[in-house]
Amino acid sequence: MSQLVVLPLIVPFIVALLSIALRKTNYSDLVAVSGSLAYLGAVIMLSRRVLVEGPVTLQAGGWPAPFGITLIADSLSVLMLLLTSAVFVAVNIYSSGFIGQKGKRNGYYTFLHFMAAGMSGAFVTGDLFNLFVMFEIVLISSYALIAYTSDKDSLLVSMRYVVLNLIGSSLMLISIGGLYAVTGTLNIADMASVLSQGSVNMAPVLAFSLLLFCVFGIKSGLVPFHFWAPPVYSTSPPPVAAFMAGISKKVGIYAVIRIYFTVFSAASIPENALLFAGEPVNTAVAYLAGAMAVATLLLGGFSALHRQSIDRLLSYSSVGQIGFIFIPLSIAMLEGSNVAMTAALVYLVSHGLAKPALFMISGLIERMTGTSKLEDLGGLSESSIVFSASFFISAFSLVGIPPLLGFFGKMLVFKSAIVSGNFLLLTTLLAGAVITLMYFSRTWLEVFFGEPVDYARSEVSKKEVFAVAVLTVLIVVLGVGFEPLYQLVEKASEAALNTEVYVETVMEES
Amino acid sequence: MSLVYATALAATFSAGVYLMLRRDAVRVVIGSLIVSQVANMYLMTMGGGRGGAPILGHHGSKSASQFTDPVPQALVLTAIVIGFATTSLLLSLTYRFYEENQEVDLESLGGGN
Repeated sequence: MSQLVVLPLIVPFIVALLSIALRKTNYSDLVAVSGSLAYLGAVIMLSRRVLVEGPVTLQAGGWPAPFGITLIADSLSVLMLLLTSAVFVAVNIYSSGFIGQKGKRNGYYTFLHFMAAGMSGAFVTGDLFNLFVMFEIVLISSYALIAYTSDKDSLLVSMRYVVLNLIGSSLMLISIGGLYAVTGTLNIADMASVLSQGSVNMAPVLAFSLLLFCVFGIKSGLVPFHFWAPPVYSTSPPPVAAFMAGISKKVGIYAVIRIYFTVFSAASIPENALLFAGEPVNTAVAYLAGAMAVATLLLGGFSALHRQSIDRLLSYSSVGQIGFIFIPLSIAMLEGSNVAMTAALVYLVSHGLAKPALFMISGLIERMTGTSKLEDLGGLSESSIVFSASFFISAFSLVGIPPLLGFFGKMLVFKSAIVSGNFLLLTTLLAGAVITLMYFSRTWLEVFFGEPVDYARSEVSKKEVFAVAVLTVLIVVLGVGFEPLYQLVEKASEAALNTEVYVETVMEES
Repeated sequence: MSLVYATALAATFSAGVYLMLRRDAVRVVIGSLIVSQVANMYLMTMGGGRGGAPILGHHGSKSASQFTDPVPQALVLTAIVIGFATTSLLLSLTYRFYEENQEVDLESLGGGN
């Protein structure tokens, strides 16, 4: 038992409250940035403890496991927390240059930090209902941040997003309530052990697991639930788009990994079912996830190909890239293979670093030149070395050029498809990789090469460029020195697949 | 009894969905409110039938099975608060939307992307 687990939750909460109090002063930027650094520090402290001693748990209020709310951090949660906090620091630095005095009054930082608190909560909670609450914290903050500029477009987009997620939340509530009625518990670990005893009726469990998958599909933008993502990303302020595309989606993916591999792998489909009778529930979910991932990869990629503006192109690319994470994930669900899980997690990290950098750069380009249309841009590489280099590195990391981080992501994803011998998935992955290469080279050529176009230039602040540079350096450093990250990801993948440790750690404390 | 619950839930849910498919933004808000209330009502029915108050020693000799399960009620309380927060945010967004456009017809505005 350790109080350390709540630290990544408490720190952004306190900073969020502090920024309400300081919103009219000149200190709000400073508080937000140092708050994000404190958050990073808290996450690093927790990670060191977890990596040395194994999973750390806290039974809130001292109530033993199935009755109280359990918080648990294992290597999977720690990996997600480290990614989140690194990107969060960059987002805060960028925001401090981006947001003017008006923004501070509107409580921009408050929402940003509440969002981080909700994400940390989702990563460390061991309770299904608590996961729902943390999702809502993330969502409510994001509603406000999307509508932040408060113009016609952003209001309409935010309203649509709220309505969609109200439906999603209701479905999530219904499935959680149903699972509680069937298993009599909300604790993830306890639910896993109840289901593995096999004494409950499996038919409703199967139905609720599929309903829950739709909810997580909405969160992570899988086709056919992807339609909210492009308008949201292209209308919200660039740092918000960066944080949402980079990290918010990954919260949904984390929830899929945590819940399906821990809870539903223990459940089996009823013997009288038409398909997959007697097999684990995860088998059915794996086929569903695989089909959705293939559709996501192709639809997102093809839609990105012919977009006319950078932010729309990046938004569709961010839909498509999720397919690269879900394809190995579906292989891991089907076969329990360590290779596939590792591939999914490495790709998750590489996309989680590169996409925020790209959205930030696209925001800078739009402000510098006053346009985001590809045809109006050109020759930017002559004006600013730092961020054209950053764009090159982030974009071609996603394409998969060695020695950048994305290369290892792509390589491992391909390897997992080859090892499982699924050539349909392998072909899709290859097609997806070619499409990624096509749209990023097109952007690179049209925006950074060619005749420099004359713009009404406006200055970008050093802070914003610095934030972009931080992410880019991380992509290069983690790619060149891949070994430490790989070891961390292997531990995380072990924690995701070998859930007995998770269940035992939660239950033994009681 | 559960058939009555199920029918009532289905009827309310379809009313909510019907409203959500309207063009008028205010109706969409009311529809989403109804849908989230259906989830709450569903949680209550999942909690099982009525029983004694779940307080130890309150009714002396009752066994655990005679008490109402308190967990769904706690969940519903939390869900109501969250639903309230989201709906009020949505209403204020709708109001800002009305201020910008002088109408709340979603169809005629289309766009947004």
